[in-house]
Amino acid sequence: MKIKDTYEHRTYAHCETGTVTSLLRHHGLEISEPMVFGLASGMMFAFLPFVKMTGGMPVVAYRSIPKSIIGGIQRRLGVKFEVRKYRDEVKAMEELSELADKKQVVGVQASVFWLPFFPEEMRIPFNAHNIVIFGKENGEYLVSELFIEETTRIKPQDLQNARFAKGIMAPKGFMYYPTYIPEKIDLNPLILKSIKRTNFMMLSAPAPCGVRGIFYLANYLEKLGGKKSEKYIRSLLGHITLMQEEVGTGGGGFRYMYAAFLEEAYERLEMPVLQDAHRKMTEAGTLWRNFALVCARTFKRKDTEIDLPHIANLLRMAGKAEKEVHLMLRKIS
Amino acid sequence: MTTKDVKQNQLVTRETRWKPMVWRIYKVDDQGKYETTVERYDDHLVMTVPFADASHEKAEEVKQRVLRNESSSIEYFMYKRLLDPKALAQAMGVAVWRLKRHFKPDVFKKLDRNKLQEYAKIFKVQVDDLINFREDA
Repeated sequence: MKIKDTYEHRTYAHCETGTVTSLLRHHGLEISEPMVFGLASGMMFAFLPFVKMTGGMPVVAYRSIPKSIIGGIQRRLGVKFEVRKYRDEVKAMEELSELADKKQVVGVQASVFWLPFFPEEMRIPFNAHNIVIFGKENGEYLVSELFIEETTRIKPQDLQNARFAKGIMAPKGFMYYPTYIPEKIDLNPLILKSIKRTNFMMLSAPAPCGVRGIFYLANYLEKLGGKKSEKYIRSLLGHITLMQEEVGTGGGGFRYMYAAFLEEAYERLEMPVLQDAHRKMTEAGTLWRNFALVCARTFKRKDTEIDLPHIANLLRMAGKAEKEVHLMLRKIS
Repeated sequence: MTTKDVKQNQLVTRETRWKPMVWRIYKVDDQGKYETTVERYDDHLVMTVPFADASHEKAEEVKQRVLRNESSSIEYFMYKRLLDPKALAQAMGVAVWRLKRHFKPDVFKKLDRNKLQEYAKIFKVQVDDLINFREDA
């Protein structure tokens, strides 16, 4: 494990894959963000109308559950992360301080609500955000926030609040850093393994998850008209757009990022099916974006009519394209 | 964050505050290769802002009710800080119905200082701002 002397900050598309990539790169493993995302089988779809998030909106997820990337990458690559969780707030901060003094770069789970460097409008109570702490200076922690161009700082008190926010997915002082990276990693067989796993999860998952979940959401949207108030439908569509495009997904709800992973896989393995799949996945990503565009327009222009069948059809097109990709990839074994 | 910081924050325009924010988007370039491009607040209109505005609008409605002594400042700051009853109840570790009881002015007056301190911490204000309602705290 060759640890770099200085931490190199750069922005990433998604907070969890971003921190993991950033930590791995700092510890001497040159790997790209889409690669981490693909290897950890991060892609998923889930629509859970019975689980409500803040604002009474249902869960619409375009990825597997938080923390699954940290777990998945360890299993796939054979890297080891030291993972710590705390009950005692003071002890958690002390240990982080010790690590920072030792110049250990640490990934920390934090609640967006308590992070002062975000714009005010963005500080929603979302607990599963990840930041990188790479040192301590004048009593303040140095933060590499992956959505902000330059490194920032945070006061210990603010960080403590963020690390011990209450509610669903409470961070409980969760922090992690790599301790072991194998000397040589042969990525090629691992790529195929993880593609197979994503394939299985997308195609075989029961109705509210995977590809079936996409069609379920389409049917759900189509039947909404008349059942719920216009205001609710508009904000639901806005919520879907928000989850798909703006919480750090790399565009098209991670579909572009997965396509980038497939492209990298093609460059390494040179299997023609991967190239076809990556082109098709890009198309699917564009279809997802079109769907989000119409949703956003419906949310923002309150005077226009809500064309739910049209929106549902756009979503079905995206789902169909995605299903084709996974069926195509099923052939590799 | 202290009260002073919040005030300073409000003086700065929205555009400057959002300026350092970056969304990385994976896109295909002319050669059909993937690369990342950066999108900014100005480039594509962010959905987060309308959601925050909706919450702030609600806060304004509640403000009138607080001034008429029909609700407590807790409800105002809840919407002002982009929370909703469920999220605030979770952050406080109380049930939603108990939280909603604290919206009643009579119940609010009887709350002890420790409880108010907890609320004040979440809202990033002083306890006095809660008791003597100050909207810009």
